[in-house]
Amino acid sequence: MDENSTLILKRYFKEYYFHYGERIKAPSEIASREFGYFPFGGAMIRHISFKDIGTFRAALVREAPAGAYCSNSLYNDPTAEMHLKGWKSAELIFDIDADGLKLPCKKVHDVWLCKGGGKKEFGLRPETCPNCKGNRILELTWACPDCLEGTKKETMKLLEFLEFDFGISSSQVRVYFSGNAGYHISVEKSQYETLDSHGRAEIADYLTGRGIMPNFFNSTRLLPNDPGWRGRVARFIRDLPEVNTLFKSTTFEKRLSELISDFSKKQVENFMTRAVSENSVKIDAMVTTDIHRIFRMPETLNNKTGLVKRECSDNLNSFDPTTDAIAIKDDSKAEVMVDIVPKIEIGGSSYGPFRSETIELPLYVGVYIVSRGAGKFVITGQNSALVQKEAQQKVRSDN
Amino acid sequence: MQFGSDDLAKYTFLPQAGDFIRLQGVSISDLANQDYIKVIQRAEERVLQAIKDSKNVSSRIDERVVEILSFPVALMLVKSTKLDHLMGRYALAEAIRVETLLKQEKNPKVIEELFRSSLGLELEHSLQGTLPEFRIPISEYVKRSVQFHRDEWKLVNKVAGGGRVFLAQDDLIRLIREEIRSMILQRLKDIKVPKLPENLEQVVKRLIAIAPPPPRSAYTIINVRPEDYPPCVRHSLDMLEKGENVPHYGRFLMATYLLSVGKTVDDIVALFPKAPDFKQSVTRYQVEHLAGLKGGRTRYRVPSCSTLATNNFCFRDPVKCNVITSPLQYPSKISPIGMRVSGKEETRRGPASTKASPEPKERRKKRGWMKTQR
Repeated sequence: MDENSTLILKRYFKEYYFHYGERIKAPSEIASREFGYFPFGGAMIRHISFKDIGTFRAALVREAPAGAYCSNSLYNDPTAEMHLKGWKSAELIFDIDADGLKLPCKKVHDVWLCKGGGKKEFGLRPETCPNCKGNRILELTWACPDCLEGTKKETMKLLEFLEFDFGISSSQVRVYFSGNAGYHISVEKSQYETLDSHGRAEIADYLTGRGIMPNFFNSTRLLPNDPGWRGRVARFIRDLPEVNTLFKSTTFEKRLSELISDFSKKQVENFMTRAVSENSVKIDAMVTTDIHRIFRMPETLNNKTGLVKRECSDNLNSFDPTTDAIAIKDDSKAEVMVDIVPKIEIGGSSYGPFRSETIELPLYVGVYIVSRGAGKFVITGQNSALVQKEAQQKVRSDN
Repeated sequence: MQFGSDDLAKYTFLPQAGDFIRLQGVSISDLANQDYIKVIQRAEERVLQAIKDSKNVSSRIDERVVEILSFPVALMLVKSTKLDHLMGRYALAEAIRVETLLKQEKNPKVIEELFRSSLGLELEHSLQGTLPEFRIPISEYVKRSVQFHRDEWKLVNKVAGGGRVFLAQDDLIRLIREEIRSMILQRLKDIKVPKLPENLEQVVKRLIAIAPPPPRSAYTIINVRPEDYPPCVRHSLDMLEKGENVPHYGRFLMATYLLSVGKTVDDIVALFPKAPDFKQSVTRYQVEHLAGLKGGRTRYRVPSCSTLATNNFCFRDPVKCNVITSPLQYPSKISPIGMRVSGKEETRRGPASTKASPEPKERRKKRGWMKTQR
């Protein structure tokens, strides 16, 4: 990213932390947690700790980092090297990201870039570049309202699993918009906090349905009000429409006997694949199983969008990330030289698609596009004032 | 509830069985006495059965006192042989004995009490339609079930509701065999054996003579030929070769695996230039980090098959991958270890349950890929 764009982003982040830093709440047992951050254009700095939230907020205003993180784990010594930290426990966390849903809209809004010939195009990443036949191709994913709605539905599915299967009450669960293309969910004070990564992998597999045995319903009779996956599979059988590609019969009882007595092995597998795909939760298993992770701090800004990682535990249904997660919504404008951007919806308006053009946009839209790596700020008018302000401050702090 | 002497004769490892013996007032020197010949014979039989009879120790519940007393005597005999692998083998055999008896236990109260007093685990028991009758907290279940290899032990194939797993008696009992084994093994390690009477010394000598040789030491594989690499490693190499973007887990697997089979950091970095986002300095740092040469000086372990599958990077060979739990065990002429896993007792994380081995927790820690300090 060019230096001026970085300066403007940094200024925007600093303004946010200056005005709204109070929104950042202390995690429980703050002194036992590892913190980390990375400055714009710099590498991640980890293994640091804060005794209170005030010091952390002050550091955010001072550093205006691109990303700020905190461990879900508690350690005896959070600043020690990883193997000396003394792991105590970790909240159970989940990440649901639009990219993992593989929705059909991806081919409309995602962009690929050939590192060889420089060709950029909307659509899914091709095997080889049609221009230069090279295969060093990068992808830039975007999240549209359909993607965000999809991740919200997955989140609701997850909450249902957590409550009914895992016995976790809604008061233990916190839901956040990730600030990018999905949701983060964390579970506090549960029986699962002392599980190691193998145990957590079992939870992840339970949610994604990985490893479910096609014949697991055979052992005893399934009923729609059974707990767990048995009940889910039973309800899937019961609730399929009258005309469907799996069963000939229409009632639950008859369908069940069809499944047990008439289906071939292949048909049973096909049935299970569908039952699992429609009922499982598309989480990123790596996030749940990694117990040494630092996770983006709530109410801090996401460097990939300039949006806020914002809690929506109590208003998930009505939460609209494209408006409710904007960091600073004012009348500031910015001129942006846009590279290639699909149609985006943000702040109640839609913008684009754009290709290689310079346009004036609300600052938060410019921040969004530049943060995505799809454009840069042009240094004119208001932008140049912002740059100067930040550059002057940089000189002062460097001195 | 309190255990009766019939319960203690079955579950001789319980601390309450020790209390029972103390009440009888038996001392070591008493064991030279002819009155205890049955106890000594039974103790020797217990160890011999562990060595010979498919590692199973029989139950003689009809002679309660002999059954209860012979257990600590057998522990002393085994400890006196000073054979570590015999201790492991005996602990497992006694654990299987307890498992067999618990599976046949008709009184759920005995099971509940044993779980509570020995393992600190609160069970719930009730009959609900066709659902399995026992329930334990999900976290307690998965902490134990991750040792098992077979899919039927996966949480996803169990009935879970309200934070509890519903388990049938057989599954519930199998789940704790390792813990019983560990408890017995720990007791073996902890006991201090005083000077034994001559008749017991004779038994110890006989046991040493008949004990099997220790198992082969752990194998090391180096210089595995590329055609013998497991399919997941070959898949990453193929992707790299085609210039495709290998996902994080693929790279991690490939680097840790190749380091484990004797490749150098240079060899591995040289594989990457076709990656779309290749930067030599970054790749080198990352590989050196995994090798334990940079950063926290932790040498990272090869991820297990189950971790790879969880992260969608398992491309299993339907035959050869059936018997393994780590890519390093992928069967080839040089690594026959996979073949040792067989039958009912196979475990998800290694073939250890059928042979003398370290404690399961220690074992799991050693395998965790973040944990080994150089």
